[in-house]
Amino acid sequence: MKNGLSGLDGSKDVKEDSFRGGKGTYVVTIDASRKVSYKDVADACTFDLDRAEITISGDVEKTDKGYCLTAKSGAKFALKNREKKKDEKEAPNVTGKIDELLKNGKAIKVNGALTADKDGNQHVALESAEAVKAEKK
Amino acid sequence: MKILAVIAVTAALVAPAAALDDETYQLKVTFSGMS
Repeated sequence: MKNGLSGLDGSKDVKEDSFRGGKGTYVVTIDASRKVSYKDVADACTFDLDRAEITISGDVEKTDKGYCLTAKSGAKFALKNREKKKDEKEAPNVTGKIDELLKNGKAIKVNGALTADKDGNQHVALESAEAVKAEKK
Repeated sequence: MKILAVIAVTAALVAPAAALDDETYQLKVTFSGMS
């Protein structure tokens, strides 16, 4: 398993997070300049990919189609609020927070479940978002 | 002076973490059907 994930383009580190009941969770650290898609991860090994949760920073823009994050690699991710969980009254309004963050800059770090549609467009169902401090040059 | 020293040390400790965060991203992936 680790070998498959280590073989992803730009993979710098792979750690086993948990393993029980036939399910294994791994944390993969990837070079920000490299693109890794949901399909790349699913194809990285022979087991079924249940979930891919991404934490990534980039420039976020609000367009007429919604919110879009462009990563350092050039990869684009459509951002949307995740679905409500059973034990919640409502899902967190992360895009509302992004609206607030965009007033101070577009460099934002997001976290959420990564998925892809049949055309290969990638989506992140948002769990959280926070501002990224401007890089000193 | 002590306050300035604390600020300088804090900035030095925080800066590398911010730089590292900008250089990588993370995927937490769960696979099933493993034995």
